[in-house]
Amino acid sequence: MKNLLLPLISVKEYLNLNKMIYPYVLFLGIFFMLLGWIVGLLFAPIDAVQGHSYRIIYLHVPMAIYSQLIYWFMAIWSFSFLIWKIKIAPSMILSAAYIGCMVTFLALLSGSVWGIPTWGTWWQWDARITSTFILFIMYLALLTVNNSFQNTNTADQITAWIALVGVINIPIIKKSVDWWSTLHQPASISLTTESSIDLSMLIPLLISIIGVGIFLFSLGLKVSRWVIYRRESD
Amino acid sequence: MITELFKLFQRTRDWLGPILIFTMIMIAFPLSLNIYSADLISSFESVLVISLLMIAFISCDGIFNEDFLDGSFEMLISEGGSLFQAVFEKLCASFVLISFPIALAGLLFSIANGAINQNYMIALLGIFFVNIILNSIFAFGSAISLNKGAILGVISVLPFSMPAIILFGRFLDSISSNISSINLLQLLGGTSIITFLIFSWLCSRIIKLHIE
Amino acid sequence: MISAHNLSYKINKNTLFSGLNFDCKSGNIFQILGSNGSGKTSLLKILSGITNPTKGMVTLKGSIRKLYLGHKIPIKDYLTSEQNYYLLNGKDTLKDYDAYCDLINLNVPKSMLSANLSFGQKKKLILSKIFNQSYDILFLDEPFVGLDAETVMIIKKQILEMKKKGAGIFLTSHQETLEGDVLIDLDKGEIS
Repeated sequence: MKNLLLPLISVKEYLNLNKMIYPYVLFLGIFFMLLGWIVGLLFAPIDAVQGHSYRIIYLHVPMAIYSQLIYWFMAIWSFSFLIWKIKIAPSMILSAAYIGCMVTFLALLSGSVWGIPTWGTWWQWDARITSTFILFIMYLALLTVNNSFQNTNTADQITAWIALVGVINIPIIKKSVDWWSTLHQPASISLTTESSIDLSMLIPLLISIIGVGIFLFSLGLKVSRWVIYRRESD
Repeated sequence: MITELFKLFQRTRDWLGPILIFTMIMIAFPLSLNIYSADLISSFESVLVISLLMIAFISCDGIFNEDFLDGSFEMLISEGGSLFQAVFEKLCASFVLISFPIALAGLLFSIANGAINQNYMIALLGIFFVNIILNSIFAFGSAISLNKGAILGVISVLPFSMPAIILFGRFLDSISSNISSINLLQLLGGTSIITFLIFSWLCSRIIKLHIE
Repeated sequence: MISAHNLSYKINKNTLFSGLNFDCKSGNIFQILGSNGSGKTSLLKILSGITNPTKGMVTLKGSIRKLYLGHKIPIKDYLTSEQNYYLLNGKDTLKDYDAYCDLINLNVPKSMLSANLSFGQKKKLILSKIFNQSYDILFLDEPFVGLDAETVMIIKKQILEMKKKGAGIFLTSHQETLEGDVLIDLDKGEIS
């Protein structure tokens, strides 16, 4: 048990573990991601209503899921950093912010691209889209804040505090926008159609979610290594 | 508390400035539209919300800078004083001298523009409460960006103010369409107290970090 | 009264000092020496509880009234000098404003705005704290900078008075105006 926890405490141990597992994780991630996408793009049936355009869900849904999950991941690291002063936590928070920013942007972009043929508009002030957009801004804000302090310790702690407070904000924003839009306009669009999705479409979707997850994890390993090296050299 | 009030009162620019800017926005807004236009009422709400947001930002910008830069906070900590209390009192003083007059002015302009024609007391309290929420949030931003300029604070806390704006928008909607809005007022009041306490505490933590 | 165990402090990668151990008893004057940037101010701030050390800890015995007076001057420019005086010392002071002015040669009218005070005059106002309240430990960062010779003598006398009453005093000073009981040399890392 103690050996397993060691990479959490020591930067050196973490880097060793990171280098060791990185190639395998990267390979697994690319394999599952491509598998999911190939099956989804080439073999899954055409949607009766949306035609081929629905196939963007194999990119959009994983990105949307991970944009939130990464924030939770970051918040957990922030919490552990503020409580136990874990050494690698700041690097983890920072690398999660980089990747989260990218993933959220892709989720928004793919959503917009998908929106043009399906809804006829690329933007709608719907609860989910608005909260995702604010999430994107929060990632950017975190990166800006982290970058603007010369004292590393101050920067790390302030970043962790904002990340932690922000995690409370995300459900609140989602709820309040939901509430607000039901007053102004009936919810014309619902993205939650996963329960009604056909099994032949669902399976590649699940595979691509897993694949993208593993791929992002490998990306995280790479980015965190880069972040740690950069912080060491400061 | 009295001391903080007195100190803020002495700096006329810091409390009268935001009130004047608010008034000027409120005057400028109908001039930019056709004065007799029906759009006036429908767009008044959003102008009110945005100007409250702006005023909260202006009045909280640099609220802690002076005490941070001249070493008052350091002396306070070394004497074993409570930073939380200092932040709390500062914010309270700004509520009394800035937020309340702005709530009053906001109410008067709402009546003048025809957006509110009854439930004046509820409207006044609602504007005051949302002011408290926004001020607490922007004070947190100002604590983050203590010696870094205001932009940093704004970008890092603006997302936190979104729910308050949405809630306030709904409150204004219900009050102008004469739906009973007492529940929303209670919600605003409760939120403002919680936000005020939590964000005062957060401010004191962040200021402590800056001093270290 | 106050003791330091294995104190270390570093900013980013730059280590200022490490492994400092000492114990301050009542009536001790600690003089902290060191070149510019050797961490004198940081050490005072750590001891007074403003900053946290990177490693090690500071322990205080019992309830101790302490005060840190640093380079920064907590005087509000928009208040008069008398208002600032009572803001610093509280409402009921040992000496009222006029008595203190007489004591320390501060020839400033009550109603004068503090923005018009000179650096030395502001510093004199700040130092009123050590005349008005009894502290167990004082942390003075360059207390004599910017003061005239006569005032330095008065402040010195007050510090020695406090020492006699049993206060522990930490000070950094480039001028050798006050003989310390214990010297902490941060350049060499020695305590003697």
